[in-house]
Amino acid sequence: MFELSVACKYLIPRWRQLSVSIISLVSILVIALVVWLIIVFFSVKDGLENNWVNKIVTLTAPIRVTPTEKYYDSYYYLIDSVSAGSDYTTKSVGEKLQAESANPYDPRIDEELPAKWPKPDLDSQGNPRDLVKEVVQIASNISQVNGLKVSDFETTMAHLRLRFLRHLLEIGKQSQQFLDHATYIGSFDTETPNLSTMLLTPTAADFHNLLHMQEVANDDAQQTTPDTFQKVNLPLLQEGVKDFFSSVEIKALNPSSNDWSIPPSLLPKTANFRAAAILNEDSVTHLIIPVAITKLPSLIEQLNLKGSAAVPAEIQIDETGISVKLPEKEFQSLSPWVSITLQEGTPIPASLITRSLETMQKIAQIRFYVDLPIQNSRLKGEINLGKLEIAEAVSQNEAGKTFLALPDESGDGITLPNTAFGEPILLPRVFRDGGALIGDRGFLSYYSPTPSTIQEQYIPVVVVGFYDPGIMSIGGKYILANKSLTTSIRSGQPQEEILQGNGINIRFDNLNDTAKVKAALLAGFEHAGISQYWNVETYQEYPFSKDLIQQLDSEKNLFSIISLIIIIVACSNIISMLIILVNDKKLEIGILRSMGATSLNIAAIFGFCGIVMGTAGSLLGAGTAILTLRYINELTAFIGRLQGHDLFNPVFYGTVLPDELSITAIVLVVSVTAGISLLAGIVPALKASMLRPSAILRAE
Amino acid sequence: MNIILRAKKIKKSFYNPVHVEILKEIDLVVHQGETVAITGRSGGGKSTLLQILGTLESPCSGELEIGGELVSCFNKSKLRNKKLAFIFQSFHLLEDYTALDNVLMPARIGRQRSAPGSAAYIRGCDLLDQVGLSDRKHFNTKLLSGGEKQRVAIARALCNDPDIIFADEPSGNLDRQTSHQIHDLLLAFAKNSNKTLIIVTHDPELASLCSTNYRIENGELRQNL
Repeated sequence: MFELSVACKYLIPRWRQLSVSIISLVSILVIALVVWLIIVFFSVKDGLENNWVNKIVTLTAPIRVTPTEKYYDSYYYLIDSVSAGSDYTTKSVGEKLQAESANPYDPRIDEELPAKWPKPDLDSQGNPRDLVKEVVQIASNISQVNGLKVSDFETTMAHLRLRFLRHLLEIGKQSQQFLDHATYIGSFDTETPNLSTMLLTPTAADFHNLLHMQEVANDDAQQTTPDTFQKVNLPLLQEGVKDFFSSVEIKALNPSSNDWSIPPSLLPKTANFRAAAILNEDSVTHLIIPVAITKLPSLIEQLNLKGSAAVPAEIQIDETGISVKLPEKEFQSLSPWVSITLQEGTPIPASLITRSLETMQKIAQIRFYVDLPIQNSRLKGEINLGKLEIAEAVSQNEAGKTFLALPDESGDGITLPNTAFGEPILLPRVFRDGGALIGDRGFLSYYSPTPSTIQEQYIPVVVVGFYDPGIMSIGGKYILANKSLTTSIRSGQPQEEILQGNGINIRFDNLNDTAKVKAALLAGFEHAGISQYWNVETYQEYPFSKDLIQQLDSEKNLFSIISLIIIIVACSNIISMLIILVNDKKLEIGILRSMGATSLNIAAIFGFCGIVMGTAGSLLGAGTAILTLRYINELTAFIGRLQGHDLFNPVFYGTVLPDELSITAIVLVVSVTAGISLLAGIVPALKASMLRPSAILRAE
Repeated sequence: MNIILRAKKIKKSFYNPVHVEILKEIDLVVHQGETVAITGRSGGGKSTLLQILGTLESPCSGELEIGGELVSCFNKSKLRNKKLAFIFQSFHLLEDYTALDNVLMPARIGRQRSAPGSAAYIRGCDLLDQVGLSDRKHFNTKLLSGGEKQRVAIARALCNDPDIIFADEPSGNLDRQTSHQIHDLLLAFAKNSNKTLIIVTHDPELASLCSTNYRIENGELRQNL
């Protein structure tokens, strides 16, 4: 196609056409920049939206069927309250699903129904209809939807009080902290798809807390004002610690503060270390050794900034003992009162000495073998855990089930451990930010009416993990627990509070099927004549997600319009560039016309120039966007380091940004850019095609 | 001999800034294989007539037939590509292209295959060989001398095997010796391939080499006998 080859020839930068070349280059770069920006923005935004929506859907379901007021006024619902077969208690949707009979009322045993009692809704055979089971049957029969699952759900409310025993456990301070929160408690199916993706990885601090909590007895869950805690007896402690180490492997320890000293047994027989000496009126109180000599200046600077008088020092260890040399002084023997420690945060590779579990009396006596290369020597030997913190640990999946919520065998759902200290609960990440750790214990309290009074009830709980609820409005208060926990809380609460939070979850693999499933459900209910009893809501319509999803849609539309305007502005450079090009190439236009090129051929040449520039710019932008997305987390971390704080709030955006390329965005942006570039090329192309060859040739 | 071109009462006027009648009812008949020279003073309308005959310019009135058909019935671009060719005083080669690319351009415009080995490519190479530029075919035209450029222009004019070649002062920018070479080449090509050649020139020597001579005076075309 000669037009395209001529167009490409025109676009090759040349000194003779410097202005055209510069404008072309700038146009292409501007388009590339805009395309890069739009693709990266849309990809990250799509990824975040998908994450948020997936989290909402995982915690709830794509579609929920909940009872209407008509349901609660129906014979089917109310009849349980007057039937001995139902213990004279109304039933939740889940209980109705388990119930053997839709009509437990037995006129031979139960009292006569009042005159204004609602009439039963009968089926074609004249039997009372089972409204819940019919819903489940209709939902289960929806065809051509992959992964369809129907289950009931329950949500209830309770007050959570967690007790933090950090300092109390470690350094014997007589203090403790509590965290109080009003919470929703949601039951979850262990097989809920994608649930495991929301689980946050336990941190070293979690393992540290979990280990130390083995010392705490479980008999004081309701303690609200104690200054001490009840310790478990030694056999129980040893059993708990053994369980812990069968689930968790500690890989490194960490000196938490200058309180920890390097035990003399770890020091080599002969060595020279460079260290920071902390002085108090010219006498050394602490010697802090950095792992590498190169880190000494920054260590001294940090210590001085903290208010310590730190100077460089040299430590010499030989058969005569330990001596230290301060600046402008001679070597002097080191006083036994001076502690030698490592720089705070130095991870010490460690492995458990299993036999120490048999002999230890308390957690601090657990022994580890450590081997740390330090400067030109090594710290090697056995030490007590003492005041060291766990710096790195891994849970071994199968065994870890004793303490931690872990992905189940399918890798999709979550298995909660059966802990002896209370009901296992999964907390949203905001609790972790508030200081909670895995292993923390506490209780859920709620008020339960009795015939004479209202009584506060307690259920002991243990934190077994944290999950990320995304940005769902109630996410910060939404605790996940076994259904048995929600059922026991619900059964003790007044009826009117119970009934709002139950219904039927309908899950399926592809969210694009949502409208289809909803339509099928509505049609099924209509056909069965039960639509008056049930609300069908999609995840876009839930009260706690509706505003968020509408806002996400509005933002997307707004940014799409802004993107279009930016692309138009970027492509408008092409018009000016092509007008200059047409003027530059007038003679060639005349020559081509004299050789038989038509006006259309000439217009096509300049149209192609526009498309080639637009496409080159968008491909360059798309390529850069792909690269950016591949390294987006490294990039944001780098910018965050330069700024001194996180670039994106991890609570809102997650710890890592989504790096998946949005194919929709790339196709849309590249095609729109090519289209607008073509439009931008039309004006100069028409101008070129209307030039008269005789006039050009005569003028030249 | 067949009549290849017939112009009937061609008129052309310009209105810039005053009305000037450049061509006054020109009648011209050109036969197949004829070489025609049109001379006249500068600004006399020679080039305008040549452009009208070559369909680059439209007359104010009159009719033009090429190959026995009225030009108004043809697609002019297609006609120029298939049956007509031009050689200009300033060569008018496409910059940034090689000599061979320039020669092949009419074939490319006519959607002929021009890849190495194709008929057009072989013909282009052959034409460059005939004008003595076989060793320059991959040279960028900027690197060629004036005489070489005009030879490329002659080869380009012959690429699509046209019926009529229009040459506007083909040696106007060349020295005397090179002019002679170009004249000889042009006339030899016309004679050997029985092409019609219409030349506009100031050069009486070139005009004398043509079979028919016309002179434009006061907008009228008169044959020099």
